[in-house]
Formats: sequence, C-alpha cells, structure tokens
Amino acid sequence: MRKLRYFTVALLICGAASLVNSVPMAGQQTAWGDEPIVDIRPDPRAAVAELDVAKGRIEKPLKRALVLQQAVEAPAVQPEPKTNIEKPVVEKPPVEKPADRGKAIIELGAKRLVQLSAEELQAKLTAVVNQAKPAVSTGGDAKPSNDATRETPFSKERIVDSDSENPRVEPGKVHWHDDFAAACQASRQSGKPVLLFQLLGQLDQRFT
Amino acid sequence: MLFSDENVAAYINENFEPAWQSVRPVPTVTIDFGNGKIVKRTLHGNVATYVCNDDGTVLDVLPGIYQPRTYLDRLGQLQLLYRYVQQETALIADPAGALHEYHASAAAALSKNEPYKIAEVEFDRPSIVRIEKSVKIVLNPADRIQARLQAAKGIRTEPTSIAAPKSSAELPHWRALATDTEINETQRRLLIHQHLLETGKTTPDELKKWLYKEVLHADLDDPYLGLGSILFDAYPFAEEDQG
Repeated sequence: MRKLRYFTVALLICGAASLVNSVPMAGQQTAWGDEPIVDIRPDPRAAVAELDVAKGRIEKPLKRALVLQQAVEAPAVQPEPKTNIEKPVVEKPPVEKPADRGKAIIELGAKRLVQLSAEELQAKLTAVVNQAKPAVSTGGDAKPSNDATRETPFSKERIVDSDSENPRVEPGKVHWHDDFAAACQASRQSGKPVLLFQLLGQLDQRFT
Repeated sequence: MLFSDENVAAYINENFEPAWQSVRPVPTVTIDFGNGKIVKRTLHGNVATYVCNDDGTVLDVLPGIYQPRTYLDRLGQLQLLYRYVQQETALIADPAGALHEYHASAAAALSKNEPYKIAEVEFDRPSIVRIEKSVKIVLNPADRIQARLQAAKGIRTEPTSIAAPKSSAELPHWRALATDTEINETQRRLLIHQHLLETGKTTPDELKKWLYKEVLHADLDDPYLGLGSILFDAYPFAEEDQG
C-alpha cells in the first residue's frame, strides 16, 4: 500500500515536470497556434515601484539617528519661561548709510522750484533750456561743451549732460568752417563754392 | 561715413568751403530689453548737401545720402555749375538766367528719364576740354560724353553686392544705399530742379522746410516728423501718449 502511494506521488511529480517543460515562454510561438503567449506574470517594474515605498522605511530610521546625534552634540537649551515681562530694549548704534547724492540733487532742485514764484520759475526754466539747447545752425564754435557735466543755474548742483548718451565723434576728415556765414566769407576770398551739409542731429555726435 | 572717406574729404577740402548745419535734433529710438541690454538707433535721419555761391544763393542740392563715388561725381558737376554761373556773372551779369537754364534743362532731362551731365565745352570746338577760360558749360545728355567724363575721373558704378553690411567699410557697397542713391538722382533731384525753377534765387534757410517736407519726407514743423500717422493711427492709446 505504501509503495503504491510512493508510486502515485512520483507519477504526479513527473507529470507536472513534463507539463512545465512543454509550456512556451512569453512571446514564443506555441506548437498549436500562431497566437503568442501573453505573459501574465507580475511586472518587475511594479516591484521596483514597491521598493520606492520602502524608501520611507530607510529614511525614517536615518532621520531618527540624525536627530539623536544632534541632541547629543547640542547643549541643552532651557526653554524660556513664558512671562508677561517685556524684554529690555537694547539700543543699537546707528549705522551710517552712504549719502544718496543723486536723489538729493533731484529733490533739492525740485524743492527750490516749488518755493519759487511762477515768474521766477519761468525765468529759471528759460535759462536751463537756453543753456541746454544744442548749437543749431552752426558748424563749429557754438557747439555744446564736450564736458559730460555742466554747471546749472542752481549754483553748485551739477546735472548729467544728455550728450553722455550720444557720444562725441569726429565729424569726418573734412575741415569744416564754423558756420555757413564763415564758409561764405571764405568763399569770397578763395573763389571756391560753398558746400553746406544739412542734417538732423549733430555731425559730431554718434547718433545723427 | 561719407566724410570719413579719404577721397571724399580730400576732394571737399580742396574744392569747396564746407560747413555743416543741424536743422533739428535727430529722433532716436531706444529699446530697453530689461536685462541690462539697451539698443539705441536713429529713427528718421536725413541729410542734404547744398552747393552755394559766396552770397549764400543755392545753386543746387544733393538730397539724401549717396554712395561715395557718385557723391564725388555729383560734387564735381556742381563745381562746374558754380564756375559756369561765376563766368556768366562776369560776362553778362545774369547768374539767375544761367541757373534758370541749368535747372530747366536738368528737369526736362529727368522728366524723360534721361541722365544728364554738365560738360565743359570749348567755344567753337565740340570736344571736351578742361581749361580755365573760354569755355561754355552745357548740359549734355549724351551717354558718350558721360562715359568719357567718368573714365577721365576714374568714376565707375560702385559694386553693390552686399545686401546686409557687417561693418562701416562695407557701407559703400550696400545695395540699399545704391537704391537710395538712384532715387536721389532721379525722383528727388527732379523735384528740386522743378522747385528751384519756380522760386529762382533762394538760400538754404528758405529752402530747408520745403526740402525736408516734400523731398525727404521729414516735416520739420511736425513734432513727429510726419511719422504721426504711422505711430498713432492704429494705436488705441495714442491720445494718452500724445497727452
């Protein structure tokens, strides 16, 4: 009876082994048809994703270890008792900031303008405009100063000249007369015709 | 660019009494890209070259910017015109008549799309000569004479193969400059000849407003130089801007 049992078990094991060997792998063609076998085993990538979940398990104990280490290294800090007593105010020494000179110049000028009467204001503005006016109708001596800054009617204040945004350049290699009248005068002496070059802007500035 | 050219500067210094004059500040456009990069460009600049008598009378005008060689050639022509007017003044005291004749002939030639040149022709001899006396200066549309004059002065058409110049040295060969030079010499100068024919004796100051408005399309009386319609017509916030 016992032998019969052993025989039956052995027979079952052999059958199962032959059955496993006869099953094709995923993607292989079966002996009985053209349809490929679909692999229904769990995706190994899912297993990796599951591993990601385990990240927390790794980090948690690590964090605990770090916290413990910091607690050991840091001196024990006594928590401040909560009271209603105000802290004494400690006066800090004043920090000197660099003077905002540009702003001051603008504001100072504006303040003075506000204090002026309408007539005084008009006179001041006219003076500024006349001083800032480019040398129209001239070719030389009346051209504006080459200095990037100039004195204004506001005594010691200095403003940046707009020329700094339009730099000076050499007006070519021509020997220009100062203006049209000077060229006419020279023409009377030399007998050469006058050439007058008119343009928008200034020939001795970059943007013309 | 033009007056930095050695040949142009040397020619002007030798043959003219030059002066320059600003008619108004040039409009510029500044684009601030907000990252420290700022680009500034001229928006609508324009120029004109007048050749005048010693009393300031305008003989003729070269409108706009030219290629250097063409500019030199035209200056040479206007120098001949000056001598012609001086000669006529000395002989018959009628510079106005001489100028009138010049502008009438030039306008007639340009109206028919014919090129024209001033040539010095010796009395009773049809050949071109360059002597200081006994010459008559005439307008001659003959291509043959023009070719000979150009050959004598070494002036040829400038090669214009560069569509987008990458340096100032390439500017004389810029195709756009060649096109502008051609428009100056045909359409714009025709307008000038016709106008000077009507007005007669005039000065640069009297001529400049008309010239800039009608020929160079930059109205000096308009704060927006005639660009207002382009800037504001299709812009919903125009009134706020002009405020």
